[in-house]
Amino acid sequence: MKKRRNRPSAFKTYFLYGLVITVLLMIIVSTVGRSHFNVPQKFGMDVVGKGQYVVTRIVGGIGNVWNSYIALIHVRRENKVLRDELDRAIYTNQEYREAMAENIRLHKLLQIKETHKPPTLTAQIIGRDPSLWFRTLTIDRGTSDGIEKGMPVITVEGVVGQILETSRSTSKVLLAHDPNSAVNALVQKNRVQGIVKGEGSQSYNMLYILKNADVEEGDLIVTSGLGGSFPKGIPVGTVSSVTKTKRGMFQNITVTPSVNFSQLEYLIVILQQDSLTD
Amino acid sequence: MPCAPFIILGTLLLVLQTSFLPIFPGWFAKLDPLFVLVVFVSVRVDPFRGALIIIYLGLLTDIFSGIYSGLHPVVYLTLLFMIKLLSRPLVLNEPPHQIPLVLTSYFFVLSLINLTTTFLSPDVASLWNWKEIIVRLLLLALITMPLFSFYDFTMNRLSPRKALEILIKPRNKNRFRSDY
Repeated sequence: MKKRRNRPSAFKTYFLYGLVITVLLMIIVSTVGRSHFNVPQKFGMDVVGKGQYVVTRIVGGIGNVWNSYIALIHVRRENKVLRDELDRAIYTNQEYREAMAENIRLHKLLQIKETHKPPTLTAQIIGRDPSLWFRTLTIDRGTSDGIEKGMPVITVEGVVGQILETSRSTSKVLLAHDPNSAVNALVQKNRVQGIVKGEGSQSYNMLYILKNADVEEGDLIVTSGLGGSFPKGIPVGTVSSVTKTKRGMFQNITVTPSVNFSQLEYLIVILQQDSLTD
Repeated sequence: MPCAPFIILGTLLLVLQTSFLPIFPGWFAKLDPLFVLVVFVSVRVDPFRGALIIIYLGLLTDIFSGIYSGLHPVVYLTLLFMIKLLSRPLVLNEPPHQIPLVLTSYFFVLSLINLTTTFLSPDVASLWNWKEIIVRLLLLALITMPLFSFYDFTMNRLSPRKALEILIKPRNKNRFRSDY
C-alpha cells in the first residue's frame, strides 16, 4: 500500500525536476551567441567584480611591499640604465619639440581645423580570462563612469582592445590579439591601409595589403581611424615578417603588438561616443 | 546535499582563477580548480541539484570568460549528463577513476567549445594548441586528487546537518560533571 502511495509523489517530483531543467535549458539555449548581457549577468558581473577588485588590491599591496623593500638588490644597476635612458629621452624629446613646433607652424599655414580629442579614463585590470579560447579582461570601470560598449582601450604603448560588455561598476575588454578582434590600420610610412586581426598568440595578422605595396620588416603600423572605433594614429605594432606567395593578391604580414598583453596593469579607455561596433 | 556551499565555493574559485592566479608567471595561471569542481559536482551530487549548480557555475564563467553568452552552461550541462550516463555502467565515484575522468572531461569540454565557436564564428581561426592543452591536462592531473579530497571535505562539513551538529553540540557531554 505504501509503495502505491509513493508512486504519484515520485512522479510529481521527477516531473517538476524535468520541467525546471527544461525551462532552464530553454533560457540558456536562447542566450547562446547573444551579444548583450542581461540584467542578472550584469548583476553577477558587478558582485563578482567587487571580489576581483578586493583580491587585486590585496595582491597589488603585497606586490608593492615586494617591489619597495625586497627587490632593491638590482636597484643600482637599474638606476644607471635608467639614467642612460633618460639622457637619450631628453635628446629625443628636444627633437620632438622641434618637430611639434614645425607641425604647429605648418598647421597654421594650411589652416587645418584642430581636431577635438575625446576624454579618457584610467582603469585597473581586476580579472583575466582563464580560458584557452578567448582573450578578455575585466576592468574596474563601468557604465557609472561613462563607459559604453565598443569604446577603444589603449595604453601609452598602443592599442589594447575594445569594450565588449559593461555593468555598473565593471567592464569586459576584448583584447586586440583575440581572433574575434579586428582593427582598421595603416602602414605609417606609406599610408597603405589594411585590417589587423588577432591570432590568439602574441602577434597579429595584417590583411588585405596588396602585393605591390612597399611593406618591410620594422615598419610601424598605426590605427587608420576608419570604422569609427579607434582614433587615428595610435600604434598597433611593428611588422615582424612579410611573405609574398605566388598565389593571391595580398601579402602575408605578421605584426608584433606594441603592447605586451601579459604585462598589462592599467589601461586607458577613450570615452568616444557613437562607436560603430554595435 | 545543499547547493549553497558549492555556489559559494565556485564563486570564490572563479575570483581566485581570474584575479589571483594570473599574477603568477607561467603555468600557475593555467590551473583550473573550477573545472575540477564542475566534474566533482557532476560525479557526487544528485542530477537535479548537480544541474542547478552546474548551470550557475556555467553562467558565472560566461560572464568572465569568452564572448558567447550561454556557451559554458550548455557545455557543462552536456558534460554532467554524459557523466551521469557513464556512472551507471562504470564506478566513476572511486578514487582511481578521478584523474582519468577529469582529463577526459576536460578534453571533451575543449572539443565541444571548439566545435561551438567554430559553428558560431566560422571565419575566426581556431586556437586549438596541442602543447597548451597537454600542459593544462598535466596540471589538472596534478591537482585533481587533492582538490577532490578538499571538495569532499567541504561537502561533508558544510551539509546543514553537520553544521547544525557543530552549532548545537554541547561542550561537555556530561552536563552534571564538574571539573573542580
